[in-house]
Order: sequence, then C-alpha cells, then structure tokens
Amino acid sequence: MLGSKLFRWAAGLLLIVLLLAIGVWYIAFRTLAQEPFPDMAAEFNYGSIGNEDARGLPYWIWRVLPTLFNEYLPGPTGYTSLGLFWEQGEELPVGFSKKTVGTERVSINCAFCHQSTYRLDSDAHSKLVVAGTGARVDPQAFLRFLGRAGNDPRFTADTLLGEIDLIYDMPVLERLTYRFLLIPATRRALQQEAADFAWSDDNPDWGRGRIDPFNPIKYGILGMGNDGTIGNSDMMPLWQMARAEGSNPAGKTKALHWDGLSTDLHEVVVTGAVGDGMSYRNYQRGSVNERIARIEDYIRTLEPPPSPFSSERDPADPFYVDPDAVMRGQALHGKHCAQCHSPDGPRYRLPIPVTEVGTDAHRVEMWNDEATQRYNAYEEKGKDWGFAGFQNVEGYVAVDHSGLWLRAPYLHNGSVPTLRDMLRPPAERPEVFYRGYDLIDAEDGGFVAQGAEAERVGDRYDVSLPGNGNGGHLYGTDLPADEKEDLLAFLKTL
Amino acid sequence: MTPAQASTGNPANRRRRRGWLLIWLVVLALVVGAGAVAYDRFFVQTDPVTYSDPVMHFKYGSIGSEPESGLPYWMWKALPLMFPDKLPEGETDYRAFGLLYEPGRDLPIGVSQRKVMGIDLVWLNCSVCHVGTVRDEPGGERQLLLGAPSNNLRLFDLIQFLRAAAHDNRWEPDYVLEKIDEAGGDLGFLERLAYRWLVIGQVRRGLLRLNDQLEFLDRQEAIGHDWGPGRVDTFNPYKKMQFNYDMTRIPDVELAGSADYPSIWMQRPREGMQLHWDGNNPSVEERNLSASLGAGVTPTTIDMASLERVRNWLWDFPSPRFPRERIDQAKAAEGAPLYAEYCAACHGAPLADGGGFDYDRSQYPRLGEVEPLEEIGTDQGRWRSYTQVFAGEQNMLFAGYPRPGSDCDERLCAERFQRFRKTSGYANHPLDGIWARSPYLHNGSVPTLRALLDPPSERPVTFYRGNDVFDWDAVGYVSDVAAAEGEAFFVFDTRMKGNSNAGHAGPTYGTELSATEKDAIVEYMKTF
Repeated sequence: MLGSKLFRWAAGLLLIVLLLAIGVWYIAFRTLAQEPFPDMAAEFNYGSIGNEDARGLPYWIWRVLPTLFNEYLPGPTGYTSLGLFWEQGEELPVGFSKKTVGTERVSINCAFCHQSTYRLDSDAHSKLVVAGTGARVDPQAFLRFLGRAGNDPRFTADTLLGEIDLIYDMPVLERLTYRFLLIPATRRALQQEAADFAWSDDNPDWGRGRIDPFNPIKYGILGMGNDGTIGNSDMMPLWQMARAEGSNPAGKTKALHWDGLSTDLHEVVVTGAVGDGMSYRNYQRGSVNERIARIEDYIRTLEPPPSPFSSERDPADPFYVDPDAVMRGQALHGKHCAQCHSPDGPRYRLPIPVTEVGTDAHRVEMWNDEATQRYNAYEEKGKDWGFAGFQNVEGYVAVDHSGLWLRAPYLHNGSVPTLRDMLRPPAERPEVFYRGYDLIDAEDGGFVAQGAEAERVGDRYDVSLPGNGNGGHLYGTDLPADEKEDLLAFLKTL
Repeated sequence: MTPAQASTGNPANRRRRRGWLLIWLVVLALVVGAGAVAYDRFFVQTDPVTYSDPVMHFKYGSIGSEPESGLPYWMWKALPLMFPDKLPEGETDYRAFGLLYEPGRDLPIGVSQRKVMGIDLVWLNCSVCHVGTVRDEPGGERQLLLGAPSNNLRLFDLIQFLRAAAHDNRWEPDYVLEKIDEAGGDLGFLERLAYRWLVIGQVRRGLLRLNDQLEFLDRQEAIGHDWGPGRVDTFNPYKKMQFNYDMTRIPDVELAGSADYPSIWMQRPREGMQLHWDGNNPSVEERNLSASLGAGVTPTTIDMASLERVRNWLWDFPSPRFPRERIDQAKAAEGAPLYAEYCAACHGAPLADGGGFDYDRSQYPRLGEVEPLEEIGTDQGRWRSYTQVFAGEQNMLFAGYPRPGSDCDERLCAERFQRFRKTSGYANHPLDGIWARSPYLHNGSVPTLRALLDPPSERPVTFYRGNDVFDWDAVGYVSDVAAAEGEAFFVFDTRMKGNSNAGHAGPTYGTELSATEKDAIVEYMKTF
C-alpha cells in the first residue's frame, strides 16, 4: 500500500512536471514558420534569420516601446526615427521580422542595417534601396533606445500592459504570459544588453550610417577584454557580392569587410547573422540555413539602382551630365582609379596597406591576430562553426564603384560627404557635416550634407573625433580642375 | 490513535468528506462564476444610449469614443460653469465652440453617451464634424445639413478651453459638486462620493494629459495657425495621440496642416477614389476607422456595430439640394457646357437626366486622382503635415485585428491599416452638393464658388468664417460681415501659414473666362 501511494504521488508529480514543461514549451519555444514571401526582396527585408530566441522582442512590447519611451529615440517619430524605411501596407519597417517563437516576436535581420533610401528632390518621396548602404540607419541609437527603455522605472508590466490595453484586447492567457514572463524577461534581457554595450559610451558615437561591427563580437562571443579600440565604419551595401568572391585578376584572394578581415562570402553572411543573435542550434534548422543560403545567393547578383545622372537628360536638368565630360572622365578613371576599384584591376578587392592609402587607421587597429584566431576557432557550446576565412591585414579594401552615387559618404569611415570632396586634398575637405539626409546632391555627388534639413534629420559628423579622420586617399586630388570635373561627371554615372 | 486518524479508515466518514468537498466545489464555482459575470458586466461591458432611427444614431449615437477619451456626463455639464471666464465673452455653454443644440436635447449634435463602470460618460461621434447649418438671413431659422462639413465647429477653441481648464486650480470637490448641482445634477449619495474621491481627480488628470499632448496648439497659435471654425488639423494631433511623437521636434512646415471638414454623403461611389484632401487612402473603411480614432475611439473601445450603421447609412445618403426656386435654369444651361469643358474631367458632373451625380471614373479620367502640387498650386500646408514616415507607422494601427473568430463576412470588422500612403499633391473630389461645402479649396481659403473662378489675385485676401447665413448668388456662406447677433466671426487671413488662397487657377481652371461665363458655371453648379 505504501508502495502504491508513493507511486501515485510520483505519477501525479510527473504529470504536473510534464504539463508544466509543455506549458513552458508552448509559451517560450513553440516555433511557427513565417508566411512565404512574395519575392526575394521582401524575404530579405522581413524574413527571420533565426535570432528570435536571442533578440526577439515580444510583438506587443515592441509595438508600445516607441510610444512609451519616445524620448529615447533619436528623432520625433517612432521606429522610423532610427532611419528605417516603412513600405506601404507592411506591418513592420524594413529590417524587422516577425515570427512566432513561443509568442509573436519581432527581431532585426540583415536589412536593418543593409537598407537605404534616396530622393532626387527635397519634396519627392524617399525611395527604398534594397540591401543599400544603411546611410540613414542608426543601429547604436536602437541599442541605446532598448537599453534605456529597459532601465527605465516605467518598464513594468502595469505600464506596458496599460499601454497595450489601449490598442489591443489581449486574451487572458496571453496577458498572464506577458505580465509574469515576457515583460520581466525582456526587461532583464534589455538591462543585460545595456550593460554589455556600455563600453561603446567610451568611444565617439557611431552616428547614422555607421557601426562598430566587430568590437561587439570581440567583447561578446569571442570573450575578449575591452581594448579601447574604435572600429566605427560605414555599413556596406550588399550589391553584386559575387564580385567579392575568389581571386582577383592578379590571382590574389579577394577580401571582404572594410579592413579585409574575411576572405569568404559565405562566412561573412553567416557571421553577420551570428552577430545578430542566430545560434548554432537554430542554424541547423532548414528554415534558417536555407534562408541564409537564399540571401547569400540573392546578394551575389543584386544590382544597385541605376544612377540618375545621365547624358540622356535635358541639359537644364540638375542630373544631366555632359557626355563628352563623361567620356573624358572614364579615361581618367581608367588611369587613376581602375587599378584598385574596377573588377578587372590587379588590386581590386585587396586590402591596400593603411600606410599607403593613408586613411584613418582606427578600424584596422581594431582587428588583431588574437581576434582572428579566436573567430576561426569559434565554438558555440562545444559546437565548432568551422570558420576559416578570418585574417588580420593592416589595410583597407578597395571596393567596387558600382552604385557609387548611393555610397556616400565616402571612405570606410564615411568621413568625406561628396565625390567632389573626395577629389579635394584632405585639408580642403569639410571638417563638419551632417549624415543621414537622403537627398542626392546633384552638384557634388553624394548626399546633401549641409543646410537646415540636413542638420534637422542628420547627425553631426566631426572629422576631428577619433576614428573620424578624413585624411588619406589622395588619388585624383592633384588633378587639374577641368579633369576633376570630367572625372566627377563620370563617377556620378556609376 | 486519535479520532482523526481513526476516521481516515472509515468508509462512511470518507464518503461524508467527499460530499462536503463536492458542496464546497459547487459553492466555489458559483462564487467564481458570479464574480466573472459581475466583472464582465461592470468592468468590461459598457452601455451606450442607443437610437433606432439612423439619423438620430448619426447625430447622437455612440461609436465608442467615451471609455478612453470621454468626460463624465456631469463634468461635461459643469465645466463651462466651473470656468466661465475661459469661455468667449457672453457665452455660457458649448455653443461657444460652435456645437449645435437641437430643441429639447440636452447634449449637442455629435456628443454621445455611454455608461462605463456605472458612470455616464459623453464624448464625440462622427456628426460633430460632419453637420453643417444654413440660414436665409440673420436671425432666420437654422436648417441642418446632415453629412455636410461643419461650418461652425471651433475644435481648436474647444481644445484650448479644456487645456486651460486643466491648468486652473478650481478643482476642489466642493466647488465642482456645487457647479454640478448648478447644472442640474442629481447625483445620489454614492455617486457624490465617487465624484468626490475618484472622478474629479481622474478627469483633471485626463485633461492635464490632453494639455501635454496638444501643447503644440500653442505653437500653431504663435505661427498664426488657429484652425478656426470649420477646420481641423487632422494629422498633427494624430501623430501625438496615436504614436506619442515628440511634437517639439516636428518642424513648423508640418504644423500648418488645417483643412476644412469634408462632406461625408454618398460614400459608395467614393470607394477606390483617393480619399482625404491629399488622397492618402483609397479605402472608405480604412478612412472611416482612421476618422473614428480622431473622434476618440481606440481599437479596443471602438463600437464596430455602431460604426457599421453609420457607414451603411452614409453609403447612399444623398447630398442636400440647392433651393430650386433660386436657380436660373436658362443661365445654368449656359454653364453646363463650360463646366463640362473646364471642370468635369477632374470633378465629375451631374447625370444628364437629372438623376444625381455621375461618379463614373471612366467618363471623368482625373476624378478621384491626385493632382501633383506643382500642377494644382494650392497651399502646401496640409500636404506637408502628412509625411511618408507617418504613413508607414500608421500601418501598426489596428494590428491584432480582426480578432480570430470574428465573423467578418457577416459584419464589418476593424482591420490593420495597409492603404495609407504619402501622395504628391491634392485629390480631385466629386462635387455633389458642392454648394453646401463652402468655403472652398482644401484649406477653405476661398469663400465662394464665384471667387474660386477668379484668379487668386482677385480672391478676397481676408474674410470672415463662421457665419451660416448663405449667399445664394455667389454660393457660399456670407463672408464679408464681421459680426452678427453678438457673435464675432473668425477673421481668415489668407496670408497666414497654411491659409494661402493660391492655386486651382489658370486657363484650364476657368479663371480666365468672362464674368458672364463664370456666373453661368456657378449657376450650373447650384444644380449639383
């Protein structure tokens, strides 16, 4: 009898544990596939990259955060103030995906940084450039927004649910999950993230269009100490990435990232997702690794939008360029630029030693041998990712000039606002300008970086701050004035 | 062995205990059930005052704005008495803000009532902005124009009154209850307690919040952009109240966004046209939901069944007719071909058989389309107030709706917004009942149809708005009288931000026709 009583107790206990486990699985882990996307651009812009468990905010928290904590955003509006583009009818801005992992969660994807916009007239609408340069996006402001919200005493279940109640009639079970699980867990996670991101306050702000992409990796998954380096650089467009694979015309292995720290596109894509919180375990899921593979294929051939600068336009049009000047400029480009910047040039996609190019050295100083070794040997909970393409070279990669009209500001740290300024010696380049306005500068090439509107929507960029130097890259700066005009005319059309 | 230990082994005792347990469980279930019903009845369900007549429903029925935005009925009544000094000289109630009271009705048109948690609340519905009035002569009888743009409502002043009330310290319960009594309040003992300890403080906190949210109205006043009677700035309050935008960082150019209320009759043929002045949405349903948010509903308080009634009634509700005896038919006939030549492609025209307006967009290719700014040339303020990023963030509204299991085939459901967009100009609207929609252009900057046919340089630079005596010849409200019957009308200055009367002009717009031809067109438009 004692035995059977014990058995009954044990069975009851087991049942309770089992039910609890199922419950926890249901509210925290149950994963539903996203609806299929109509095309690859939509999949890139809104597709999940398997980082919801690490980075996903429960949808309703995500929804009310900008309303409750608007003062922590970098502009007067909601998520759009981070420089994100919001397409008509879409539930989320470009760069966020929504997926059910336990509950509906919103997390960032590749497109968060890799998107941009432009307009040719100040009153025209902004146009989205898929996988563009991220020129308006402020990822640091997003991280700070989340951190400050998480540390705000108003981040409580009462306040958040009070705000949610205004817009959504939440079912009781979901409400209990939010109150007792999701809101406290999210608060803890955001506070942890804020603490882990505090190091960035010692460095100059990234500002719109820039990121310090590898210090978070060094201080995060690679477990290295804060070495005080500054890796602030422009985000890069993901166009025609096939051109960055394999060997260049001189038979040398092409490099990726501004400082050439990787030689393998596949690894760049995967580690990009790892940096955004994709785990090894999630990468084993077909839904995740197949998506990453599709994205990789997509960006191999994705073209930038064609330049609006054209000889076909009306000569009175600000985007008209003189055909003869363009032709002369093309010859000059062949002579002065193509060696490094054209796919058929012998130094294409190779890191040019920083001592030679002379641009701001902070970014190459950020990456070192130890980080290289650690990332190549990186194991996650005993699982070896098998990375092998990381390297440490003291130089900056000469990137492609396709879509050059959209790649402003120029140089790896975005320290030179226009193409015309690139052809000026460093002493004559602007010392202060504003980044983040998406109006194309028809006169000088690049984005309008001065004036009231640029100041209102943009971030101030000061070349005297560490990592912001605008020196170096003197190529073409000593050309005669008429040749500069010709070269500029050609560069605008790329 | 204790008795308790002994009882465990006794089958009879065990049965008795099981019996008790059962009784306790039943009692518990009853208590929980009753509690749930009471909770639902008192905290979840609300109780609107309803009307079976669709016209009464339109005028006084609730669309669900009260629970979140409303004022307790007796606070609504007491506020003008509490702060008489904050009303315009000589005014004692909400007539000061252009609200319309019908004989025998205690609440004005556009204010509905709903009981929430045992307290009667009142707030706005569609008709507060969409009922016009017209009179033949000063002191004459007011005729209501249902579905017409409100020509009287001074929403700007009403908001400023409520904000000023929040910043006044005369909120001691004794004073407030005294004023409630003065207003005829018949509060019972419990209600008095509730008002004293709960309601009054809550109302003031609510008004203080409103004061913070709409602080930018002071900025609008400073740049000379009082909305005035018959106009509203739709999208700036929207930015703040739905998304909590930091309005201090919204530039001045976005703040001159007031525009006339539109007419809302005959919605069926408008489905698919670019709706709103700038044509930012082609869906009647979405536009309706959006306008309801403006009246104070939220996705959780909206009364969809009620809204559906209004929507169905407006679907084919005809525009009011211009008095036939005042139309010179011969002259109107002369105007018809001119109208066809200059106006119809963009604005449609009446059916030839006199059976109403023709909204056929295959006949009138530009009808319901957006005219680019550089083409139309009218004031840019309203267009600038609505931005591309705001259109994007509107996509979040009504997220989570329709709820699973809603029977959306049978009844109208709220749905997440997907059709808002930034356009490149202003939309061409059908001109049904155009006589009742003065002043003209989106910002109401041209007082009469006849003035609209003059070049901008000849249109009145300043005029008065708010008079509902009608000018049957020039077509539009009388606009050259400064005051009548003790009411000073609103000076509309077209030189202020957002008020320009430029545009909609040039050879193709008919502004270079002869005076006789213009008169004929106006005569013809009286028949719309």
